[in-house]
Amino acid sequence: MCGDCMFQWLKKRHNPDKLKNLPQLIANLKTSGDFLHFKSEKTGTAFYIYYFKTLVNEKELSEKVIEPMGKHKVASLADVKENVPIPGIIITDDLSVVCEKVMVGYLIIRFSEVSDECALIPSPTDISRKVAQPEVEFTVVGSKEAFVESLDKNVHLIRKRLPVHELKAYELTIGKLTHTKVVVLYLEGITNQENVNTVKERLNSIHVDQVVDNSIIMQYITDDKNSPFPQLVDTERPDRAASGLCEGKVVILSEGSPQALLGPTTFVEFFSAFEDYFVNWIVASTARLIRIFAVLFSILVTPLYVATLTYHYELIPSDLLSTLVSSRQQIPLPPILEAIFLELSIELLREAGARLPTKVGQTIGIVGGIVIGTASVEAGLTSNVLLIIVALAALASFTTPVYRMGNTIRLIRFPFLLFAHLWGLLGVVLCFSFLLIHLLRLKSLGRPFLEPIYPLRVKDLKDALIRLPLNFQTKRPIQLQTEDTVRFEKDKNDFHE
Amino acid sequence: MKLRILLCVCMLILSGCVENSIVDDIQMVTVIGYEKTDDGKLKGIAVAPQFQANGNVENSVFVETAQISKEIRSQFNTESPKPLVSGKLQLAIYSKKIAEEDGIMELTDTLQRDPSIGSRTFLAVSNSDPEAMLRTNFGNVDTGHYIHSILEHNSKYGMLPETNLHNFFYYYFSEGNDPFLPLIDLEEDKVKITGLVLLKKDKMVSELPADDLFTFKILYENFSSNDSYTTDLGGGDHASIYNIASKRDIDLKKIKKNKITINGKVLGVIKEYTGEELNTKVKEKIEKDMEEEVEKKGREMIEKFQEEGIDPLGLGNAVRSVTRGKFDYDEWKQRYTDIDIKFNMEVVITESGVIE
Repeated sequence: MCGDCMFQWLKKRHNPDKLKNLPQLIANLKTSGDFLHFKSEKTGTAFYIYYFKTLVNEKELSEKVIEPMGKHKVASLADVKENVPIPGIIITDDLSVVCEKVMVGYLIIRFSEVSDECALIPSPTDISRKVAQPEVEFTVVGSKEAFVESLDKNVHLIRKRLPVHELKAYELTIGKLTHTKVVVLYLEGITNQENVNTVKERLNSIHVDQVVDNSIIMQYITDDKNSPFPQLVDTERPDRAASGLCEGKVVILSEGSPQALLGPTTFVEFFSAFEDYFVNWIVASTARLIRIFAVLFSILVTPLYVATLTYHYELIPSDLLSTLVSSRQQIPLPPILEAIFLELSIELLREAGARLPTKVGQTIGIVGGIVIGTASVEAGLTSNVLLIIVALAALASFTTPVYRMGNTIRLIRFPFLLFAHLWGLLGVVLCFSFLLIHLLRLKSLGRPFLEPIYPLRVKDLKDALIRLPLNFQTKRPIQLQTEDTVRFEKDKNDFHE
Repeated sequence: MKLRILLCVCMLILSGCVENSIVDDIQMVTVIGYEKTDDGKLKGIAVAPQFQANGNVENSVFVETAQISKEIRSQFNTESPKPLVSGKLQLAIYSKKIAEEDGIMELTDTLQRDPSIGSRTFLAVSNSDPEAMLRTNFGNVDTGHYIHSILEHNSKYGMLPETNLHNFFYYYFSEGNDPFLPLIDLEEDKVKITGLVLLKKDKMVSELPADDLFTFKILYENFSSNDSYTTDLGGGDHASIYNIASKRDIDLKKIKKNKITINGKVLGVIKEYTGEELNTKVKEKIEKDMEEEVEKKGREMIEKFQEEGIDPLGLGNAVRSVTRGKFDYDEWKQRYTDIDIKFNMEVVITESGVIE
């Protein structure tokens, strides 16, 4: 479907009037330094081989193509298809096909320098890296495999975990220049077809020149592009992707990206680490509650500090009053400037740490954290109470398992700070209402983002803020509107009788 | 879109109208005291702690005299480097003279009308000069918080009934109750609770010494405290009973015949006993002695209340709650002095120490 439109477009670009036939195309390709071509007469009949040496596995070329051809005395294109032990050989005279295939590691073989007909033998070289350990979503227990930059390997990693024929992969190519292969994975009979169609439609409507990474695709297909909140989960763990598929989610993979996108998703899913499923439900639930608390703490604590110290001195307990007031006694700045100063320096540290090479980054962290913090307190620019609060808030924001969400959490603290300064607690409440309204309006692939909290779906709470034991997880989330809602029968698992 | 821009503009402009009070740019009055000067003027004393950066607390004391209380508050600001705010007020102290002569309602009313003052602000009457008391340095603490803590822990765990702004106004305005306030005294460099001031409406009419607080609290409410009660067993022996729980029950069945019975029950543990052997017989004697002692004190107390025509125990309120139809408060006030109020005590000693 899209392949066709791509070819039409190709024809437009690579086949201007002068590239009317194969010899012309080859003449054009020869202008690239890494395009090799030679004539061989090993078989008795002369034949010509053309390929990009940077795309083709040259060892395979000599062992599996040239040798057999010499052995079997190949004399025609049909003979090539018969005797070369590589599957997927194409014999064609369609210029667009030739052009497309030669760019992805196919050899062109032909027997006449003037004919348009040629054989295309796939022999791509694979220099992508090996499957490695997950770095962002590392878990102590559980699989240590992570997605890599090769799409085929990534699909393999998922197929290995779900060896069923229901696992369907819809392929398409996006990007006029990058020709990025994108695969939509879903389980037929489980995943809601509407969700799959939404993804397909949105992917097909992307018309851009380049797709560098899955994140770009995510930005194009996300429901609300003006929201700071990510509306699709991205993961580097094949097991998380596979488990998402089993739940009835749609997975999007793309060539060159070690990250899978999962959707539809919910707000609370961003605070569930995959490790939550590997540990006991009590431990997992505690961890989740701590993370939710950490998020609220991280967003609200500095604004609350500013609001209370600026407007609501009555709220400070008498025992705390002396600590707070004496720590602020020599500080010339109002609480808001003090807070912004510290929050910005923490952001600076984080940004500097993220941009610098690892070893330098660590030094920056220590220098920044200890030296700047202590110095600013001693210089009387910030109070040490606030320093502790800001540091804790920053720490709390890093507990969010999904990196993108962590960034958002750190960002939305600033409007809260502003509102806290303008109107005190009322402002904080106001800002929180705005945030809540925004979240309520958000959708993930057309499904409510704040589910199961709103709309309240009690059954989905089994795996939201807390994670109930696995034998409670017998139904797929209502959020996903799956075609088959039952995961397994609870009774059959009960051996404690 | 227009609406959004308008909203943003409004938000920015309106934010200028909000008055802020940054915590280190204000002076928080934590205790306020009132007394009467000899020429009949009102003297107000306010204490605001100054928290120093090194952790020390200095108390600034502001003293102003004026004809009316509202003037005093504005005068305080004229001698303060930072604006005085009252949101952290923890305690208001009245001199005994004011409580006796003028009543405290006028002064208390301003506290209640200020929305930033919490209803858990304590009220107290001072036997000694409030200015002297508030000028005393109680160590490296905020004076208001210091005196407030004394009253707070005593009403939470000790023998003092709760006496905050809310209680005062409830008893003042409700029918069948009369308010009471703790009486405090400055003893050298300490503040001590020396009893209870009983008010009729807002004027002091009588006071109870600190020794009677235990009995008063038994009569007044159910409670459990950490305080102990020492009873004289005769023959030089004393027993100290540590109170676990006390229960009060007002029997109003015979109210038509003008009879009220108050039953008090105390569960206690013997903490200290100066005699030789503590056997069942001695325990029974201790129980009986204590019962008699408390009953006697209680009866005297009730008699005194009736004589003065005050009702700090809230008996009127209790009667009102069992009266069908309209409760005639004026009629009750006349009836109150003649009612036969009985008081029975029961003391149960549940433990007598671990030595046994």
